[in-house]
Amino acid sequence: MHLVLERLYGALLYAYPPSLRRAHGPAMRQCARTALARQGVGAAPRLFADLLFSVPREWWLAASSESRPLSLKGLTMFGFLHDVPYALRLLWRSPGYTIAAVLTLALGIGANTAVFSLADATLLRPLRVARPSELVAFKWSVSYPDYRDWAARTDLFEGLAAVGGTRATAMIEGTPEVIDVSFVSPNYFGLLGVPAYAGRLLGAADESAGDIAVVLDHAWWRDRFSRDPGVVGRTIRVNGELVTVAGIAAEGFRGTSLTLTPRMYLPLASMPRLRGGVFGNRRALENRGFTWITAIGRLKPGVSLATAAGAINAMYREQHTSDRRPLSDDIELEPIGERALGGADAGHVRTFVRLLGGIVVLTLLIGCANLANLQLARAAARRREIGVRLALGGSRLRIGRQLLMESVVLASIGGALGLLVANLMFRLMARFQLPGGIDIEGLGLGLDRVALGFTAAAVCGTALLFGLVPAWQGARTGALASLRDQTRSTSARSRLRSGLVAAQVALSLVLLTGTGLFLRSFLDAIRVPLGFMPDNVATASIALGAAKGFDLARSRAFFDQALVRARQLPGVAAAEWATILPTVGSMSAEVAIEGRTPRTGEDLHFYMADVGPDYFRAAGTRLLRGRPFAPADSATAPPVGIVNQTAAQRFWAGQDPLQGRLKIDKDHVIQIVGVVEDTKTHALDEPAAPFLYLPFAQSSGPFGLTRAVLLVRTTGDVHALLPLLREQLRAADPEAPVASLTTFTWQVRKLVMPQQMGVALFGVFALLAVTLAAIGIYGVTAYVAALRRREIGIRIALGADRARIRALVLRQGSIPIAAGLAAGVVIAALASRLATAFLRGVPPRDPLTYTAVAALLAAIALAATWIPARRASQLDPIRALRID
Amino acid sequence: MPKNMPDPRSFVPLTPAIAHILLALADQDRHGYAIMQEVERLTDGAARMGPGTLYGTIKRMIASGLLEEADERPDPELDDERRRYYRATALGRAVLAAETTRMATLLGAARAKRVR
Repeated sequence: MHLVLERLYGALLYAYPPSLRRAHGPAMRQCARTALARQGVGAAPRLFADLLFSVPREWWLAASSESRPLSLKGLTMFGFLHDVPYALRLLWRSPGYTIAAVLTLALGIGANTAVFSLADATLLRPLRVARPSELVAFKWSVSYPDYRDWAARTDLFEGLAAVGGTRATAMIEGTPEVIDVSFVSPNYFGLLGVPAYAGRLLGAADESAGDIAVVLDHAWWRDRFSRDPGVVGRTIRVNGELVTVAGIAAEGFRGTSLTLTPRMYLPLASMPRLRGGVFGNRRALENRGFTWITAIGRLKPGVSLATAAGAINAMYREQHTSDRRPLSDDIELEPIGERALGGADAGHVRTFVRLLGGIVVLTLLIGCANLANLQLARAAARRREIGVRLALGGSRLRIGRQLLMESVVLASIGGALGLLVANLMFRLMARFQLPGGIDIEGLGLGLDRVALGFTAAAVCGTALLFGLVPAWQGARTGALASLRDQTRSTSARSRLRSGLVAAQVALSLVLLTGTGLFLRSFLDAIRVPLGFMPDNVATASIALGAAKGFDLARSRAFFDQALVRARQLPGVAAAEWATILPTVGSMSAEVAIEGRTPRTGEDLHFYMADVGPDYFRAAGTRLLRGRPFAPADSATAPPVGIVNQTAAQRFWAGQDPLQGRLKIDKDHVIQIVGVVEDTKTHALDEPAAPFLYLPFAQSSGPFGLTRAVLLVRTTGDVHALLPLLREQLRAADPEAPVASLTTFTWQVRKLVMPQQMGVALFGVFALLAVTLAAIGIYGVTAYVAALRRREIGIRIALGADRARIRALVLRQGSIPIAAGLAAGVVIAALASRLATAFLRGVPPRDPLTYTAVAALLAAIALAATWIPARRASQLDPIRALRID
Repeated sequence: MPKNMPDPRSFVPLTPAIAHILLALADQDRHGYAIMQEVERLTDGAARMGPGTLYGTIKRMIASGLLEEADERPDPELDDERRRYYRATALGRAVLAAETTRMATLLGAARAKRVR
């Protein structure tokens, strides 16, 4: 927190004149750091307020220290508050301007605050642990004995902690809830430097104790136990075992990966007691071939990542030479920050968040340019007032300060409203997922102190950005000049305003181009045939592996009951069980095809899923040949299977696949009875792979049924179906571990997530930016036309053609627009590189998008100049000449 | 008082910031953060200076000869970081004396008229 604020302060130091920054910048930053360290976040408002007022003062004094030996006279920070009521009165008197300005700032600052919070939670401080830069994670899972050996290497690590995750059913007040849990080594919290919020954390004694101790996640305790401190010491039933709450982990700590949100931390040694299947065996902790642990180490000072990895690899080879299995890949270490963001996806996450940051910063800049423009127009209108005040002996610095104060008041109101906008943005973003499957909702973004501190800094920065120029110009106004006719000596000012318009057009073009590119790639993505139809389907995932009491008989009974009840719900067209949803998880195995000798190196892996008879109708996958599964394909009937089109073409080319038979294990011969269309298994752009469907009733395997998904296709509203379905599932078996109940569309959202999010966010901000730019263009053209009223009046009086007058104003208005468009295309072409990874089916420099966007923006811009141009051409020359 | 020193009275009245900084440095050399703290203490928290105001003023005071940089050393009370210390020059002290005299005269006159 302090570091973030200090960096912000450091960045804002660039607002000072270079001479001061060079001489004292580091010392000022040091002061800010000390103040933050000693007084906490409470020091921040004062630091930023000081910045806000001393920046203009220093510029003023730097510019006006003509020959005076000592410009000590000047404003002090004491007394600026007198300007606030005056500024408020002025703003009250021009409500239209005030509302436009406040809304612009609220949207801009709010969006920036929200995206900054996201960046804080992913890029700046993804993990709330002590000194994260020293922490490394093993890239692949390791076995418990290997972990124990490596943990002894105190020459490499300060310590090595182990964590293994799973899902478990916790009974909370009689209701089962399926949650992520982490089994951790006793040194886990100590190594990460995470304190307890309440109670105590896990220790060595918990490894061997008879009672199982558990540490709760703070956010879960807050939401599920309503912050009840009495939870510590109570027992909770987890997977049928009673565990005792020892304590609550520190607020903000979310484990060591953003892709999971562990709600409970349990001792590693308790794992076999709480898990079923192969994990429910003491040998899970003894077998070197059984890898399920993520090892996290804190490097000793002076030990590099490469050194540690080398030493560990040497050990690993030595330990495993006796193994008959071939050695797997080298063990690699990665910084914990990479692991937290999903390892291989970390780069994508960073780029995506930066892209979002770019969008909102651009929008805010466009807003600031617009406001500076509006302010300039107002300053021009107030030249007389300022002139009078100067003539009466008013101090220029005071006038400048007053003009700045208006901006500060506007920015502050905008910032306050911006907090509401940020809250809305948090809700909007919570519907999305970052690349790599990080649910933004799980990050728990909110208006915390970081967000508030950032908002304060943004208010300060924007006030300076859009307030300094008008304040400067206002204060420089000559007393005499401003009392004379306004229409002269304004060319510099309209040049500045035209420049601001050009900048707005350019930045809007960048945002519009982004929207266009994402829209095109989104359209491309949704046109890709999936092989299933996720619309109007509700899905309920059951985590059987998480429930110990669920043996095969009870599971089967529940499956049957649930299916009967689901099919009776109103509007249900089809309902069926499957072990895996397309693109959500996958399972594959090697098969042997009867009567076919595999070529050397041929890959005979099939993706697999166990599905019930009505599955293909429920999922919306078309049957191309043969028959679907039938109730007759029961556990005792001969094994049958259905393959996809790719498998049929690859392995039974020129033959009838319905005559085909294949074997998963020796005695299990499966007769092919049908062929279905190909479905996506992971991502949109993958090549189709062979797929084998087996009857749900015949499913078996080493792990038994660990997971099942119920698909319910409805002809009505799928969201209305969800609560009804939950009721029926509970009625079928009140203890059934329902891990998630949501729509199929939501389950497969990751397929088009980056494009969808890109369209949504780029779209919202591009719309805002274009609106702002149109207002700006209109304002400037109208202003320039107003300045030339007298001239235009004379021209018309002398008989000038009105169409030519219109062309005159249009021409003048188009110059900044054309310049802005040209600059925008160049910037967009350069910046689009950032988005390359998230675009599909469209190159980042797609000429069609650029042309269409530029044409659209040009049309909007010309429309905005057309109105004042038309008005100017309809000017009544007599009235125009009579004024002044 | 050295020769060629400008007349300290030409500097008064001082802005509050300058007066406070000179006052804070009257008894000992201090670094920036310590000056901020001392000003706050001297005025019972009524006058609070931020780094921008402080260093902007310090820069001008050095340029006009009221302050000079002393040495750079760590402050044992804060942390181990090295900090630049500042000291009031002879002129600075004379200016503070002139300001104090001015205010004392003002105060005397005000008391005589029972303003306060």
